[in-house]
Amino acid sequence: MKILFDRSKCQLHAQCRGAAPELFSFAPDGSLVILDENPPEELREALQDAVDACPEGAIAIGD
Amino acid sequence: MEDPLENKCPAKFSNVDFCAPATHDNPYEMYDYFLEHEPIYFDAKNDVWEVFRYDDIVAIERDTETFINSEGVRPNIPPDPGMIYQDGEQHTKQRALVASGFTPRQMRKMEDRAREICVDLVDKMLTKDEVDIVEDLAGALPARLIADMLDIPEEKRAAVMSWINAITAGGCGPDYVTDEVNDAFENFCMHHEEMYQDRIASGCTGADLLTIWINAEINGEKLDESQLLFEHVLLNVGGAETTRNAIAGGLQQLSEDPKQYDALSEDPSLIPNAVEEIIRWVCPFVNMYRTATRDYELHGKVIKEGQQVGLTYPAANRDPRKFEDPHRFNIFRDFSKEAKHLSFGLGPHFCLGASLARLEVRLSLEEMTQRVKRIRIPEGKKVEYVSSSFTRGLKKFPAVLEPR
Repeated sequence: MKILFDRSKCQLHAQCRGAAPELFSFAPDGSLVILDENPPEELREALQDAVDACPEGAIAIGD
Repeated sequence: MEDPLENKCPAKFSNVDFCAPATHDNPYEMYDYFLEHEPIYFDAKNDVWEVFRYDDIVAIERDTETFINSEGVRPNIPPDPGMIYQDGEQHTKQRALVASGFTPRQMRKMEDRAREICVDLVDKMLTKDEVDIVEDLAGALPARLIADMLDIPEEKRAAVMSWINAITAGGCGPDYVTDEVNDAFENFCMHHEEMYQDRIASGCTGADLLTIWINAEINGEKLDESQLLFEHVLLNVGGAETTRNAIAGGLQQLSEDPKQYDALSEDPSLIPNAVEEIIRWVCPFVNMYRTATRDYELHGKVIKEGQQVGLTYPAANRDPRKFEDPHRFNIFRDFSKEAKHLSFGLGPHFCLGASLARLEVRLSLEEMTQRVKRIRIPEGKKVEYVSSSFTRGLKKFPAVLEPR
């Protein structure tokens, strides 16, 4: 499983961070950091929540 | 509902006091006027701007450089340390800490407990000749769920709810921050302190939300004591007041429209869309305010740097530019073709409790439509509304339930 993240769409709403704190965080400069680009299968549900939560549609799941 | 012609606002809708609670009693004729003729309006009495159209609210919510929360989100009421009053990086950090108790997965884990409460409340209602849907279901479900999440002692729960009701009324504006509001806030502060000390004394090992917040730490940052207090207030206001209004208002619409009610009992897969329509239609929050950090022109008027602007969400949810036949309550509405409602706001401050609210409205509809054949208002009785320029909804919903 792979996180597909379109940084040009990201408006830092931080919804993904709320949905899946295991996968998303913020750098000291405020930019979004993906903690694991190829997360284990057990985090699929968390990643799906982050995909659903993003108001900009900036996150997708690549299999 | 009252006769729409008996609107309490002046006929031409001039000199409107947007903070006055009665201004928003049965307000849709007034909102329609502003949507069409004056999409941005300066309320001289309160020295604030108001906007109404869907696209204008979206543009303002997205422009977080120009429109900030840290000068206040209620009209002329100063900010507190809670996350809703933060901007930018501080907001992101603080919200992430608060959100650690609110992931969609945690909310799904709440479903069994929420259903248990819902079943119990409907059981009890079905033993009565007449019920008040506000008190017996719509208010009770979110209040119990939140009290469970926070692990509030049983004997204190009623008092906490009454303080929260009073505190929320103070959100209308400085004129409405009465002695009663201040007393309620003081009582809530003492209650918070008691809960906080209790958790510290027991080593913060519990699983309740306050303990999760006390323990939450991201990159060495934690919520301080004043932040904890105001997140605690916000959780209660946001979680109990608004969901109550959504559940009661939705069931009221459905009770008046047996065809749509029956459609939900025959095909429960329609319920999630009905939940969205209920939340669009009821739109419990009347508005939130932002402050301009620079002069901003909109429809030929200028919001000056430092001025507040109110985002009138229920007007945007009935904007005919976005929603087909916007005043029609329609559980089959196709939101993917029209637009998402703005009842939860948009952007970085999007309602943190949205998934919890949706869950509670959905469970209420599932239980009611499966077990109750008809909701009828008894002869000679009528629903009563809360007057508010902050959170609108039903105060009383007397009903006779016909079991299946």
